[in-house]
Amino acid sequence: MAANPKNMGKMLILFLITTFLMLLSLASLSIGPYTQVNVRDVIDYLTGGDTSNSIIRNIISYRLIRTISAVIVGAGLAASGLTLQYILRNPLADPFLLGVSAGAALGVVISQLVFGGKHLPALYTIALASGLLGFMMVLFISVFIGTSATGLIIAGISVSYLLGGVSMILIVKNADKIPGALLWLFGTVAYTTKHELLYSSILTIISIIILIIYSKKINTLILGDDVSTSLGVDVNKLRIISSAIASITAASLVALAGPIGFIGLAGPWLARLLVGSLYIKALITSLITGSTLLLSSDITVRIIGGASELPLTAITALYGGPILFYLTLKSMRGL
Amino acid sequence: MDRVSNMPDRVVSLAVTSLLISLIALSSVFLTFSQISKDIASIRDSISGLEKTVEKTPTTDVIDRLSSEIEELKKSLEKTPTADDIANIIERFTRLKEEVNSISASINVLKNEVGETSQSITSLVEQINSLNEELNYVRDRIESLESKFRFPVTIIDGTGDEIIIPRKPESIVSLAPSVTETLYYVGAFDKIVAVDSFSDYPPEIVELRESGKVLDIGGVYDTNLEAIIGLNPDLVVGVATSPHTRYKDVLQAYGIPVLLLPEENVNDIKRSIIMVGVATGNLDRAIEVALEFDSMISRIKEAASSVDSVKVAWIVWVEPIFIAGNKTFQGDLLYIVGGVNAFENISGWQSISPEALLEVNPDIIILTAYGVDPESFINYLENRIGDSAYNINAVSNNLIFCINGTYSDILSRPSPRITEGLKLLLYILHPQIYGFDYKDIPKCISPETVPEIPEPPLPLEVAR
Repeated sequence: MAANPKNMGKMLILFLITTFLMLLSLASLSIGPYTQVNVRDVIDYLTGGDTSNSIIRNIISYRLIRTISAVIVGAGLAASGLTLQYILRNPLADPFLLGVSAGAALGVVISQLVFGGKHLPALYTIALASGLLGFMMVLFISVFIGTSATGLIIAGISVSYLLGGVSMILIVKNADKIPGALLWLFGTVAYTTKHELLYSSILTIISIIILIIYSKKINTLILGDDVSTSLGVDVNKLRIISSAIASITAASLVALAGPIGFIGLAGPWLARLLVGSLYIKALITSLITGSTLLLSSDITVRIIGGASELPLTAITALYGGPILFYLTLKSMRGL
Repeated sequence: MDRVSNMPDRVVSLAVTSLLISLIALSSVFLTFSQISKDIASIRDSISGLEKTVEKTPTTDVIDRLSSEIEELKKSLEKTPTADDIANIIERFTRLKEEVNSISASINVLKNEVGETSQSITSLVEQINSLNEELNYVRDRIESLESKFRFPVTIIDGTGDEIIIPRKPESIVSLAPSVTETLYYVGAFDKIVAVDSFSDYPPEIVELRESGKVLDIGGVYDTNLEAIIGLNPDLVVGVATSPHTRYKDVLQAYGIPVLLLPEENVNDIKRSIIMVGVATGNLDRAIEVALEFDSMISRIKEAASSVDSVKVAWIVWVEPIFIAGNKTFQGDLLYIVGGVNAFENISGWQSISPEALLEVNPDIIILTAYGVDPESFINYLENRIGDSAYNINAVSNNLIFCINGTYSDILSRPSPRITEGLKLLLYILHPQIYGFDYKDIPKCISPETVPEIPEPPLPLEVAR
């Protein structure tokens, strides 16, 4: 396989974007709105060397949490989006568009109200459950309006608005009890803490490992249920497991950084453009493209935001919107 | 001869004189009597006034109670108090001081009417004097509380968390306009190294921020934490019921103490003043500010209690109408200045229909909605509910006032400057205290139309 020149080309692409992501991460640690940190200091810090200044150390540490958050959120949302696209055989599938994010967001708000924001096990349990619930609501509604690409999206948007409305009411009515909720609802990696990052990272990494294990089976889904079944795949079981994993990944990342749109769409699209549609390749590449897109969005936020932190969706929508438009057009024309 | 002939004359003149004298005597007796009865009536009034002030309990009991309360206060001053304890002590002190003052005012009235001779009054005066001495001693003790605080200090902040501040802060970051004002009042303004984008009081802060001498760290929902970490300040001060709770979680990981102030109501402002005083090592100044703050609040309350209360609807937004209900900062302000919140049964800031205004029928409407003046508000009501808008007392009597500019900011920020806002509200709701009528008050109140907010009368002037 490795000798295949076509595969070599894809490997090279993967290697290049991975290198790019690593360079971007280094840049992310050194670039900021006020303080530019020397790359040598960054490398010193990462290799455990003595960085002269404790303030510089603190800044790098803050940017490191921020950068890892962006990478994990980007990778996880892209993996989740890609998997949903395979399960539903729909290039427009995305956790943000399919009600998962809105459901998880509502779960976070509820758990903050009931258990306070600092009870992380409760926060994650409720966020995952309600993310899954949001997705199931969308599937349920789409049974009535048709499971076509656009039908699913319309179901997703209506459920997202419904759940988003409930979240908003809860937040506004309890502004004194959960003052941080509105901030988090904007979607940003500027205010993540180590503890939440740990929870979300563990959940995301486990999910991705499971997806890799199931990758061969998931790949058959795109060929149609009959083909999958003939290949010995229990299609329904696979659909349930993989959509649950995809929802859990997205929900755990919503709990970390709030709902961030379009990465689940743009990451996989770019990955498939680069390496083709074989699920395992697209998955691995999606992790890199999703991370790269979100991290560059976050660096953009830091550069253009100045004193204030912009919501990440403000940037991801700039390229996500056109991609959504293009994919919709493509699927409507049956291209 | 002469003498004999003059005799009858003399008898007559004597008789006339004695008659006159007796008449004068009689009338003077009568006058004296009526004076006495007047005196008695006034004494009775004074006593009933006294009874009113001391809640209808005999004076000696009240004095006993006061002196035992002062003893308790002294005891609570002996141990090292927390910031909240100090706020509480100041509150109790102000209340006791008020009570003693009002009793001594009543006794002064009695003394003038009855004269110094009365034994019981002399002894009352002595007792009151000793209470006053005790209170002065307590005040000295309160003012010397700073010596009990040495860095590192521990403070329970507005979120209930224990905050440890290792050394006297030389660099402070303020996350909100109200916090900047509190820091300024407490005398820590010159230590501010970074501030939110919206702080504008004292006015210097705007210039300092724009010139970059003080760093701009963004707004409430988009604060740049990296900028704060880069400054590595000795203290960050924010607001408890705001996204600042989130910032605290992040910043504390870098060893930056974050103090979040309670700012729900007027009493919280005093707690905040003391917390900031302890945190910045300016407790002396903070106590002075808190004592002044409390005595101004009680002066305003006293002035408001001398007149009838009015029913007020406070509108913070129009289209749809949003009112400040119960448990809001504005609701608390209304209560202090003797206004009855027309929407007492609604909790928080809620949207209402114009019909709801008809139903509660406020005497006065206060508008702090941006860009809305009384005229446009009446137009809005007419468009929505027609002529029945004039069934609202505030509309038919033309008692709708809008508050603009800096004055509107003052009324929305829980900072020590709120006393200015309360004075303004007192003036709008009860102009009769100042000898004005409602029609003398401008319809739109801003520093342009009311350049100087009148001072409320001193408590004793109200008592007379």
